[in-house]
Amino acid sequence: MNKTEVVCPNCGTSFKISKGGAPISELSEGIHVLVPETVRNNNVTKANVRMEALKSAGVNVDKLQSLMSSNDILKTIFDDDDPILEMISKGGFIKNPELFRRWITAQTFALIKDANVSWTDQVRKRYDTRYVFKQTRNELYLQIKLIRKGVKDDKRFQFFTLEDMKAIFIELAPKAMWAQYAESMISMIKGCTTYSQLDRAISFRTWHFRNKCKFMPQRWLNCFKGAGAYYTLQNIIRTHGFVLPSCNDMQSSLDTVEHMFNEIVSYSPSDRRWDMLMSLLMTSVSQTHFELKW
Amino acid sequence: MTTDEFIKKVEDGEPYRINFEKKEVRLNGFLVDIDFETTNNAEEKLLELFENYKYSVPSAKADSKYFFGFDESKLSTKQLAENESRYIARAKLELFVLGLIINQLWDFGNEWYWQSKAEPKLVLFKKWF
Repeated sequence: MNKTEVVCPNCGTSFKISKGGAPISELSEGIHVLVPETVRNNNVTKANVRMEALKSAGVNVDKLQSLMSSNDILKTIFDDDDPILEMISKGGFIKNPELFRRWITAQTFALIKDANVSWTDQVRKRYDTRYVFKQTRNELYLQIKLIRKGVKDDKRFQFFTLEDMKAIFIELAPKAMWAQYAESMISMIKGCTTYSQLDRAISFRTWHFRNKCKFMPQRWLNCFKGAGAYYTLQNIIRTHGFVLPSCNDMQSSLDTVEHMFNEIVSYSPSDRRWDMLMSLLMTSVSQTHFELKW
Repeated sequence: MTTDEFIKKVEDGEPYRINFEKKEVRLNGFLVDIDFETTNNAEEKLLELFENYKYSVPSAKADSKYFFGFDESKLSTKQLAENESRYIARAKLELFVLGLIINQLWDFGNEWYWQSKAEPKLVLFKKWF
């Protein structure tokens, strides 16, 4: 197509326009301003051109046209009385039973199900030292992965901190290996300053535990309790419609959990008392007679 | 040892292994003799145990090599919280089937396998018997 070049007398930029086209300059407040063709003519866009090409090829494009013309896309996809639209307008969350840390919720509910047995006794009954080691190591792997991705503000980092993990592995080492090996392992762990260093130190030797060894470090019980209580509260408030007895709705109960979390985190890792969060969960569940829906 | 005693030991956390081809049971690595009970409606109890196994809570290395169980993603949160551990559910199911195998309590007819109509994934093979 033949094109001519036009230069704006005001700012000096050059534009290419087709020969047969309408004049592109318009007068506003005494200055000539160049207006590109695509801005003036709204109907000629890439999507429209493609749609016309589809139409000429014999494809039915009625639905696509209605989707593109409407501003609120959600309302054209769903019906007016769809429960999902209601959920979004009410709380901002879509309830999905397969979202947000289902496994830890189920684990915690299995542990607090029996009111006569305490949480700690139930943990001792169900798990052993092998599980403690495996769980802490998996947590370590995951945090290394998160850091590699560039995530820094995840809540996960607050439950099992580097200091906590070092303390846990130092307590576990004498149970897993010969005394002299354990000593060297402990001195190696104490020198670590990053997650990947700790990982390298641990994989230096193989860790064997006896079959029915039920030794549980106090530090691990505390961290495990915190993670379980926090994520369970988040899950049941968001997906199961659970509301704390002192609160009115979803947002306020989420806020109280967040407030409590921040208060506990303000202390150093060795002084954090996660049992406060767990007691909040257990008392509120027993007061409201809450049961999992799905 | 009766079946109830065996399952109580499994619940305490002792490792076990049940083999249909060799027709043997091992607890802590040692062979164990078990007195199997005979039941009248074996098919009903088999289906009951299979359903218990299918919806049990999965964990690493707990799945049976003979029977199919659901993955974690197909179970709801409630089922994950309340159901039995797969390690124990598998012991119950496999022990019952081994009792059928040793007492030869199944009619295959002319077929080389038996498939349940209610649960198509539940299959017993004639070569085990």
